[in-house]
Amino acid sequence: MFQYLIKRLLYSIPILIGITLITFSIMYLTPGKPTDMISDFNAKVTSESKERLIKLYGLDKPWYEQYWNWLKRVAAFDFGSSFKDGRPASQKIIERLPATLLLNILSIILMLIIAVPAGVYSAVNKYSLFDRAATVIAFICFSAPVFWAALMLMIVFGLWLGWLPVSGIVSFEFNELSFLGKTWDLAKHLILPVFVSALGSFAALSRYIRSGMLDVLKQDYIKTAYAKGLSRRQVIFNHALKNALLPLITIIGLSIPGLIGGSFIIETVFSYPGMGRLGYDAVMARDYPVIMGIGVISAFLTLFGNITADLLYSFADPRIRRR
Amino acid sequence: MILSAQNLSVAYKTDSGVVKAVNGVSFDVAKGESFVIVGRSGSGKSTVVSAIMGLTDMDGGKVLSGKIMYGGKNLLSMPFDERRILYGKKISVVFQDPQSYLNPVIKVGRQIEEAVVVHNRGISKKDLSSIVNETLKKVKLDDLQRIANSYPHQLSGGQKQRILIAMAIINSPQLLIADEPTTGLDAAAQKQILDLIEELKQKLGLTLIMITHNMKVAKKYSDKIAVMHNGEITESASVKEIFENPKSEYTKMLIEAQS
Ligand SMILES: Nc1ncnc2c1ncn2[C@@H]1O[C@H](COP(=O)(O)OP(=O)(O)OP(=O)(O)O)[C@@H](O)[C@H]1O
Ligand SMILES: [Mg+2]
Repeated sequence: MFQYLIKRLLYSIPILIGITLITFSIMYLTPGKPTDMISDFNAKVTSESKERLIKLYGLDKPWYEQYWNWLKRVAAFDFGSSFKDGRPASQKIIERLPATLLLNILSIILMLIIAVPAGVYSAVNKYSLFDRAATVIAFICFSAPVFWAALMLMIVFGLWLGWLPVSGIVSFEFNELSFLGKTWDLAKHLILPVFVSALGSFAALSRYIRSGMLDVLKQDYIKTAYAKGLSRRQVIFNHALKNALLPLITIIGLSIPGLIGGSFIIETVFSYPGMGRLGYDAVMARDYPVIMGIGVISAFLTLFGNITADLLYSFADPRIRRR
Repeated sequence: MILSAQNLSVAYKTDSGVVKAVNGVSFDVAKGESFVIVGRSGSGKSTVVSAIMGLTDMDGGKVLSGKIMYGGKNLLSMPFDERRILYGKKISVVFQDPQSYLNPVIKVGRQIEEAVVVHNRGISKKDLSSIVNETLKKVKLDDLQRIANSYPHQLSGGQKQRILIAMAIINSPQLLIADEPTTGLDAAAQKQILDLIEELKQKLGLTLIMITHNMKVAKKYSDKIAVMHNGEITESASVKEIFENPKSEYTKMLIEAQS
């Protein structure tokens, strides 16, 4: 087990480097330079000072040299400073982390709470009214673009009904509120983004659970369970559920990068101050250090999520448990 | 009569149309006897077992007509909750090719215990473990602790077979159905398992319905034989009669093919 873990970790290193290399190349190939963004809208900046900036950031060097320099610095945990405001990229990212984590953990929890029972119930009552309705709803959720769903909900609950705020994470007067008031204020701001980001994956997951459960219910060991005289409930809860839900571990593991990377679209639409929005702004400003920083963290977490999922899976499923 | 099938017909819906797997089958099983159904592969033997256990729907099949009478009641029209009290307690089954019949993610010991607990709510821990140990000894499994703590994939085919037999007999049923209980085992293990079933039958006084495609097995272990062919029972009589004076050509052929 330990050996396996070490091996997996060692394998991750070239993968991580590969991912950053690809991110770097894409960024480099994208039209527009960071210095354009800083200088073009600012009449006072002369082309001379622009040159100076280019030199300062090392942008005049060939791309492989730039990448190599970047890599060397990252090896020492130095992600460089933002081109935009000169603050350390790592600090900018860490600042945004809690908001993104909060949003995504809540939306994963919401998604599981809805999708797992819905999927299981659909499978157990296949072709029932509930199952048909769930199919239709899942299909709608699945095909509705996230930004469209977000805008529609903002219009209905924010503008027409005026029940929920449509942007940010807290109100202006947040600091003057009592503790309960603060919690409620935060909750109100979170409802729409959490719901919208759960929506798309909810549809896919509930279908996935349904088909997994249907598959398990056809297995021979379910016949044994019925032959023992177990009730339908006992068959489902004691025998089918664990087998059907095992793949969830992998799914949750794979969604960890989303946890941190944040959803660019949702955070942008809701002006939510998370990492997704930071990433969006950084891409728009060609803020290389911040883009690369987010890239590294996302890649790292993806690998981390994969390995954790595999480990958990091997604990949960006796068939692939290792010594 | 402990169980009797009357004019049972079962069909499966498949991509290439409806397959009538069992067609108007009737038989009676008397208390204490060994009733063997023989027939070639695909003749509908397991389909009959499925129908008795109420699992036809799960197989994607449908009972078209007929009754399966047990204790004066038709199992096929009994409400689920009434029927399930009988299964595992009065009527037990050992399925064909049992490798996939144990839940892969639950320890074997717990799966056996469950068979007891479901019919004996509130049984004490001590009684439970003594019943389990006793039954595992009955099916000649040694190293009980290790086996009970194993997952199915950690056991051999023969061990799994014995576990499933243990689960089937643990509540001392009246009727045990064994569907080709020895497929996939080597010759020595086959004989062991069959002798074990025979021995348990004597000891526990249970009635046995055994399915096989092997005439020698049928001859050795049965009191009464039903020959199945293409979903129908072509001949049904005592062992002696079947082997000394077979009526149908098909039965003659089966006997000759295996002697
Ligand atoms: N789940 C199923 N779906 C569709 N057809 C089935 C199904 N199970 C059995 N059949 C068909 O029904 C017929 C009888 O099958 P059954 O399993 O009862 O035969 P069997 O006598 O037990 O054979 P074997 O000796 O090989 O176990 C076969 O033609 C088979 O193809
Ligand atoms: Mg069969």
